[in-house]
Amino acid sequence: MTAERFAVLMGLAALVGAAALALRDLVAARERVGPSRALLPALAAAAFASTIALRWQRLGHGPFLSMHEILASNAFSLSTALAVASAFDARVRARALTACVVLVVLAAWLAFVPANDTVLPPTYATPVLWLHVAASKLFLGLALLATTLACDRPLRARLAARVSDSSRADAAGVVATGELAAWQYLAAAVVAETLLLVAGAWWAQDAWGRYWDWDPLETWAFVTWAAAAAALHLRASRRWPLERTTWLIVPVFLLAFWTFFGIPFVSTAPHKGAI
Amino acid sequence: MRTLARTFGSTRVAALLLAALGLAVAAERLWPVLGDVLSRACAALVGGSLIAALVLHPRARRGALGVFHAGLLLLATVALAGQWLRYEGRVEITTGTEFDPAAVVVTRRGPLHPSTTPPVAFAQREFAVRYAAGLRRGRTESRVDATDGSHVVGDDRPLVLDGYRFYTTHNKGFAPVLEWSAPGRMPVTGAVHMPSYPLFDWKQSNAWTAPDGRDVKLWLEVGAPRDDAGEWTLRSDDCRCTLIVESAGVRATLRAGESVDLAGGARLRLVEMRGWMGYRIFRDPTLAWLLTIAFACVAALAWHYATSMAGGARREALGRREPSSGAIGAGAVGENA
Repeated sequence: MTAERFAVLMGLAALVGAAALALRDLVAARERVGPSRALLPALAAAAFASTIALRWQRLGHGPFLSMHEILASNAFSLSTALAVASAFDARVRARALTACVVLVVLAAWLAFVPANDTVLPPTYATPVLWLHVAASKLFLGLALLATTLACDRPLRARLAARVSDSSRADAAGVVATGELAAWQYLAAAVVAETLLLVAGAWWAQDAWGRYWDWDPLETWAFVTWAAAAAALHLRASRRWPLERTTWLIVPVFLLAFWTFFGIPFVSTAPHKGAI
Repeated sequence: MRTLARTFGSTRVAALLLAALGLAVAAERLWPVLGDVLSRACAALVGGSLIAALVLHPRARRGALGVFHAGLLLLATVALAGQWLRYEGRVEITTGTEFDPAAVVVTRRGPLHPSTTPPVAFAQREFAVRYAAGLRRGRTESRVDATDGSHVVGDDRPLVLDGYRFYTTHNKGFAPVLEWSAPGRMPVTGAVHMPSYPLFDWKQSNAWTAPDGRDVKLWLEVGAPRDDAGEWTLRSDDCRCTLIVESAGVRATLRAGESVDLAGGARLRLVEMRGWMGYRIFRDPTLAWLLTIAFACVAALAWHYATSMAGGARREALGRREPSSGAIGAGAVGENA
């Protein structure tokens, strides 16, 4: 087993542990948990950082191209986002189950995709790429945190109904704080995605001689932005209570997930990294 | 009427139109014509709704949110103007020759673009393209001499002259320079661009019609064997090639400086072997404005949410706020705004 693969499996194990703790918090209907919940996601982030660093040292370039590289970089950035949020935001660390499950899926996927070597296309050697990638990591991280907060009430309600525990059903009122936080994270995510689109257009102008061409990745990135903007506008109308609108964050995240992990690998557009 | 316009500019209608725009853009992947019509219609409606919000809803034009909304409108307007002013084309230039505006194939020209051809001057010098193992194209370095000096351009570093951006492309290859002479005629010299190399290394052939109307077929044999398993560099000034010429039953293999006598006393000489580089030309005078406005929009949106979150936290700390009345949203422009 290579060191790169060992690091991936270590990250996966840490995330499975984090998911187990988050599930235990949910089942126990805990509203308050300590910042130590950040440790396992931080450990996972460190493991994914190790695999990226080893590969970077071997190939001479960052994780920008293949499915393995995209998964590794996002497993790292999302684990980091969860660790940082868990350390500093009590609302997130008590509601981290969905984020942990998504991360376990990503890490398991990473463990199974082939880690073929890649060659960096010449158009990737630009500082604008770093701005684009940083904004994309920030966007997906914030969207994941928004989603984990948005999924908390339905999960608790379902659990409460299953065990017929009225006290747990009553606790649903308390989680409105989490739902409000979900919208705050989504708002921040939209700012990051707007920056992602602008930096992407800047890069595309230099890389391919046009700033926007509606290639599949651009199309779905815009669709994600429009969906997030629509959700925020609906929320701003304040016509419906939080518990009836917060679920809108979930399809936004699913669109983002599809844009990040589906589109670049099912299309033959230049964004795929093809030369 | 005003009530209708206020409703059109409300956050609820904006949400609906933004969702419709997203769906229409996604639908364009499946049904291009229908999706295109729907996307344009939805984009126009979103723009109209935004104008109504800016005019009739004070909160939509207040502070950083107002800057963001106005910036979006400005961005759309400038992008539209850019489409009308845009110029796109492509051209192939032989090394050692000047850029010829007449050789440009115009692929798109906006109705407001001032001239038909780029009024610029530069000369193509040598180029080199690096390849990694597995025939993966790496950095392109193409040297050009313009009036302001010599430049090395390639890939994401275009040659920018008078607002025209010349981008190197994957299209490049070899160009045998031929001199044709015949009794009683002035000698004619010119270059024939062979197909792109190494993309079409398996069919390096072309045909040329001589000044007397006869067809001349050309095949290029690239001499040096290529090691695709390792790294190598394609150089325009290093073609160890031979040219096979065939015309009216006469066939000859030529190296640089050699010639072949054709029927009727004509003579064809391979003067030298050069390269050619294909460029994509792009001009949109609004690019800098678009980037500036877009970054201003991002900054304004970030400022708006930062201040509204800070305000929400302060209100929460003061205990004057119910959890379900959070201020986060697209500016709280709506029925209760």
